[in-house]
Amino acid sequence: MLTCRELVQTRASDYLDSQLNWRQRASVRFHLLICDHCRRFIRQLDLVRRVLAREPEAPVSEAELKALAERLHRQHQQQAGHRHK
Amino acid sequence: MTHQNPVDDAALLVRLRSGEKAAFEELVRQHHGAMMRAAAAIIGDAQAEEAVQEAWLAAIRHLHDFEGRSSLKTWLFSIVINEARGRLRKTKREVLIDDQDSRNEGLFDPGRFLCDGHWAHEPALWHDQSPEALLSHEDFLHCLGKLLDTLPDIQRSVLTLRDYQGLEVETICNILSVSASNMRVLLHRARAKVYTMVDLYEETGTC
Repeated sequence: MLTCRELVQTRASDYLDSQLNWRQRASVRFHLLICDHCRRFIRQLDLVRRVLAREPEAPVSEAELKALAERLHRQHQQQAGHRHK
Repeated sequence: MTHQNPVDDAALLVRLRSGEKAAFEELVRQHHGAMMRAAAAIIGDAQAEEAVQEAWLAAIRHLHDFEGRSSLKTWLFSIVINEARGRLRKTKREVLIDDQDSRNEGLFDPGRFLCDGHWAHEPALWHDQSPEALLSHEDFLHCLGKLLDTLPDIQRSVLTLRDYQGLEVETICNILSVSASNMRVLLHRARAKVYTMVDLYEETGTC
């Protein structure tokens, strides 16, 4: 039987990421059914994952984006020129 | 974060290849922020800018070779990550093994569980129940930033690419040249550290 320690230390992330085979997944599911501590833990670890997904990106200035796009466009035009020669 | 589907990619590619100026702006707008983030995850903020510029130039150089086997996003990512990793290799010896120091900390602290494998104490309740609630605290953002900075490079890369950028496990393994099992261990170690930080933050309001 899967213990709390095994679930927390070796299975939790793989369970959340759907990386377990069906047997491992069933053992986690069964454990969660009977263990409210681990249910709470899994909810919290899932929250951690979602926090990381939403951590704000450092804003890039409009001017910077425009300048970069222009530079890339210019480079592309030059390449196209070379190709057609 | 933007999720481009292949159909949009194909349309954008046609416009890029024909040299339409607005298409370049669209491309940069969609991907530059995430590419900066990916590069910073690997080599730090200071060097990220240059790596991303190089990556963009390389991408435009090879625009005609792109075959659409992956999404444009994944392709751009593999370029920026290779660029960043190349720089990392030049600046320091890379350590791909996991850090040994923290093996007995946080969720891996032997005191957290009894001999029979049960929790020694129940995990504490958290006041904040949603990402929005946690991220609304200025000091929490500070704590999170600080923690991410202290992660071993490879853990930070895996965590950023998976949880922030949302790349598939297989893609990340290819990008970072680690086995799937290795990557899963690294990812869980990194999440466990964030978990421990959040747990402390919820209890004390500091980190």
